[in-house]
Order: sequence, then structure tokens, then C-alpha cells
Amino acid sequence: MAWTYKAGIPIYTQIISIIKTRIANGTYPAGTRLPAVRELAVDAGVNPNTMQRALAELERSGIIYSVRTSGRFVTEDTAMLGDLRKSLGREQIAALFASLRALGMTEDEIVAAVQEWRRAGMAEREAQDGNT
Amino acid sequence: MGILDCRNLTKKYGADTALDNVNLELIPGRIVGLLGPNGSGKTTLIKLCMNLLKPTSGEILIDGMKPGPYTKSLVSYLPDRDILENWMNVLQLLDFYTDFYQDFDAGRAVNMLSSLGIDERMPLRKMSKGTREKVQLIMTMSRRAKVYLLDEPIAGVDPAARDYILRTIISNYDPEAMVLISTHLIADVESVLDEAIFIRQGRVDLFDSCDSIRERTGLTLDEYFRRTYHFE
Amino acid sequence: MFGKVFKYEMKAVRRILLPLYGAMILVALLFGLTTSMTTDFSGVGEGLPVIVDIAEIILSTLFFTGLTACGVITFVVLIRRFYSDFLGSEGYLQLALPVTTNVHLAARTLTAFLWTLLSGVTALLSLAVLVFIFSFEIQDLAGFFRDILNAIRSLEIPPLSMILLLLAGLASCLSGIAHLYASIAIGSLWSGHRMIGSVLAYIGTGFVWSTLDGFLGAALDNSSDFLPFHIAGIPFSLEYSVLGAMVLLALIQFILYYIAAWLILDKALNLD
Repeated sequence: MAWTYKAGIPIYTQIISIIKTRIANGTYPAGTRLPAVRELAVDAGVNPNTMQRALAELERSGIIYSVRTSGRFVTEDTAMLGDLRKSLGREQIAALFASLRALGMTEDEIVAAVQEWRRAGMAEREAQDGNT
Repeated sequence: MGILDCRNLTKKYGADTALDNVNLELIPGRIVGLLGPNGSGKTTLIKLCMNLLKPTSGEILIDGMKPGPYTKSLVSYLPDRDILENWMNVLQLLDFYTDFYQDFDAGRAVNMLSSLGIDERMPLRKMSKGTREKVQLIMTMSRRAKVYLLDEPIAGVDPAARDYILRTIISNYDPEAMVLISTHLIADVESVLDEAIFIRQGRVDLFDSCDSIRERTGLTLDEYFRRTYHFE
Repeated sequence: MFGKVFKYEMKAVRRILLPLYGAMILVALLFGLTTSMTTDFSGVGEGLPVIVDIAEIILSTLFFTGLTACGVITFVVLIRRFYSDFLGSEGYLQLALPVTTNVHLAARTLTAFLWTLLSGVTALLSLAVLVFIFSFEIQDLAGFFRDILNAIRSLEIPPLSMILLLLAGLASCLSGIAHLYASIAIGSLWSGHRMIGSVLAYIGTGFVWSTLDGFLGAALDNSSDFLPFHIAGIPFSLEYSVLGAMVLLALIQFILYYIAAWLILDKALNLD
């Protein structure tokens, strides 16, 4: 099974996150049809009821919509998708800050470290471009 | 009244109580886990559904009726042992199931068999134990029954086969059927379950939806099980 | 449903017994041939190679052990179909079928009955083939059958008696099968000791019947025409009334054993 689940949080909540991420990163592109509930359930290794619940929630939030007899589709609303990416990004940043703070870094140290990491990455790429 | 009801169900073997006053109501459209340590009464409960055992007291009802020929036509049972008539080959087995069970979907069975590369003409006794178990599972899941009783379907089976079995159970899902999976390997099945019955020493400790249990305890079902039954 | 259960019972049994019986007849044929070749009727036996003698000896052993083997294997196969393929592991498959206890029991009883008869027929046929081929030298097929018929006629048994005798034999066969099934059913109640339980039940129930039969036989022992044989406990006689009583008694035994097996399997079965 590709998907793994953590303790303490209901599985359907975790599925919602995973599907949101896949929508944001283009695995399920805007406007395309999602696989059927059963197929998603098999893929995710979960009960179809659970998958159904997750999809219902996503429908409520508007990120996906259903067309009768055709199935479920990812929204084409670019504003909503942009917001989704931003909120997912914020979650990741929050998680990053939380784990770096746990290592004893202050927020300023974290921001500085990120900028340093970026500078080093760009320099490496320039060096590679120079060699080719 | 659900599709499977237990009312004050008790089963004793002399002084030994295998099931003690079990009360359950299971409804269609759910995949339910019967979870407990070995010897907790899981298999006893399932055998009582199939009329392979008779209750000492209390009753067990399937679709409102006592276990008998009619209920057996509604229930698809996968025991935890090798049960096939080993002189048959797969084709004959397909005929057998088609003959006796009106709800048997031979087409579905053939698809699953060929996707596993199982030779239909091979006699069952010539197959490896693992292959025979898969054949047994395929036959059981190819019936469009109202109740599926799977007794330890993934114990003693390699991880790839385990995956296959769980995927088959999910993709077979029927909102009008109830699937009861009895197992002590909880981590592997818990994401597939809607509801869980925790049973120990013949008594039902807990029967609730999996999400409630997870939210209440903050644990996975497996962790909850280990903490509650760690002396078993 | 009965037809289906019966069909599969027959399939499961015939794949073993049919080849066995076929082989038996073949052995009888070959034995008869080699025996008639080596028996010197007209001086032809002198020039035959030694291999024929050897073959004859081997085949004679095969023939006689074969007859016993047919009986034993038939018994074992039929018992197994009930003991292990019904009340053992395969019982899980069989007893999960949407079929009543009576259908299971009836299908197996009928299967066992037919194959027991067939084993008897095979034995007779083997002997007949043997005798026929052996007397092939006489080269008089019609005369052979005429001789057999005359031999039977000379016993002066009235036809009705023969029919009743046949019925008594068949009824005995049925009651014997039901006796075995009932014993196995009773034995299955003793969890963990099924085998011993079945044997004890068999001996026990058989003992009860023998005692009853003994009383019956003593009560009937006034008439003069009795021979020292018993079927269903009644001394052997060719009187219609006696034969009729034998048939009746065997049928009663059958019914009682069948009902006992049915009651236990339906009401008291606890598998494994």
C-alpha cells in the first residue's frame, strides 16, 4: 500500500491531506476526473466508506465537485487552487519551524539558515552550469 | 435488527466458556474487524454463524433467521484452514460453486485467478499451500453474498499475498453486504475496517467505529490492542 | 439440491473405485487366460515359454488379493467420504453448502449403497470371467450358461423366495451402511476421540441389535425348516413369511440407524 497512516488522527482526515497534496502538486491536475471511490480505496488501502467520507469533505470545501454519473472532478478555480497551495505550504513551513525549534534554533536562526541553504544551492547550480 | 445478530450468545464446552453472553448487531455496508488474541472466541463465534457449532444458550441470527440452509445461501465463509476437495481442479471447483451457490460470480473468479496466473486445469492437491489459500479466498470473495465471514484470512501468508487479499476485500466492497474479518494481526487490517469488535476470553470488551476509537484514545487500533491486551 | 450433492459424491468416489474395479476385471481376464494356457487340456501346454507360468503365478496372487483389496478399498473410500470428508476438514466446505442435513445424509447413503453393490457385482463378474475363460477350452458358451442355469434350478428355490432373499440382502446392505454412519455420528460427539468413539459406538449399537435379534431368533425357533444362517437375526429359511420378516427387520434397522445419524448431525453437531 502506498499510503501509511499515523495514530491519533482519524484516517479520513489523513486521506484528505494526502489528496489535497496530490491536487496541489499536480498528481490530480485541475479539471481532471478523479479515479472512482473504489479504486482510490484500493490504492489507499482503506475502506470505501472511509474514502467516501474524505471525498465528501473535500466536496464540501469545494476543492472537488461531482457531476452526476460522471464522477468527481478537481476544481478549475485557479484562485482556490492557489489558496490550497499556499495553505499546504504554510503547514509545511509550520512543521519545519516546529522541528527546527525543537533542535534549539530561534526563529531568526531558522530564517538565516534557510537563506544560507538557498544561497549554497544556487552557487552549486552555477558551478555546474559553468562546467557543462 | 441487523444482518447478523447475537443475543446473549453463550457457548460452553463443559466447564470451559468459549463465548460469554455476547450481544452484537452488525449492519450491512460495513467492514467489521473481530479482533482479539488467539483463543478469545473469534473462531467459535464464526462457527456458530455457520451452524458448525450449536449455542449453549442465547441465539445467533442471520437476516433474522437461525443458521440453516437458507442462511448458508446468504453467507460466504472462509475458514482458517485448508478445506477444498483436493481431487478437483480449478475448473471443477468453479462448477461446484456455480452449482450450489446462485450468487456465485464465476466471471469474477476467473478474472482473479488469471490475474494471479493460476492454471485452471491444475488439480488442487498439486498446488502449493499458498496458492490453494488464494484459490479459497477467490472463491469466497466471488460470491455476491450478504455476509462474508473471513476467519484469519491473512495469518500465515506472505506480505504480497496479504496485500492482494486486502485489496480484494476492498475492491469487492458491496454496500449491501457485511464483511466480518477475524484476526489477531490488527496493524495490517485496521485501515480497511469501519468498525471493530474487541473480544477477549469469550467476552466482547468493545464494539465501536474505528474512527471513534482512534479519536478517543489517540492511538492506532493496533497500539490500543497491544496496550489493552498486553498480557495475552 | 440432492441431485447436486449426489453428483459430487459419485464423482469423488468413482475416480478411485471405477479404475479399481476395471483393473480387477482385467486381472481376472488375464489370470483366466494364463491359467487356461498352462492347464494341459489338449497337450498344447507343453511348448509354452516359462514366462507364462510365471505370469500365471503372479496373476493368481493378484487375483485373490485383488478381490480382498476391492472390498477393503471400497470400504475405506466410503468411510472416508463420511468420516473425514464430511466430519473432518472438508466438512467445512460441505457443511457450508445451503443444503439440509437430510440431503447430505441421503446422498452419501445412496452413493455408498450403489458402490457396495457394484463392488459385489465386480467380484461376481471377476469370478465369472475367470470361470468362463478357464472353461474356454470347452468352447461352448451357450452350454456354459445353460450349465449355470441348471445348477441354480437344481437348488429348487422358488422365485419369490429368491426375490425376497435379494431384497433382504439389499436391505441388510442399507442397514449396514446406516449403522456405520450412525456410529461415526455418535463417535463425533466425543470431542478429541472421534475415532475411538465411532468404533465403540459401532460395537455398542451392533451389540444391542444382536441381543434383540437373538431374542427374536429364539422366539422363532419352533419351526423345522431352519438352516444355521442368519440375516437380521432371523434364522435362515426359505419360507416367504420368514424371508419377508427378514426384509422388514433389516429395513427397520436401517430406518432407526438413519434417524439416529440424522438427529445427531442436525441437532448436536459440534465440528472440531
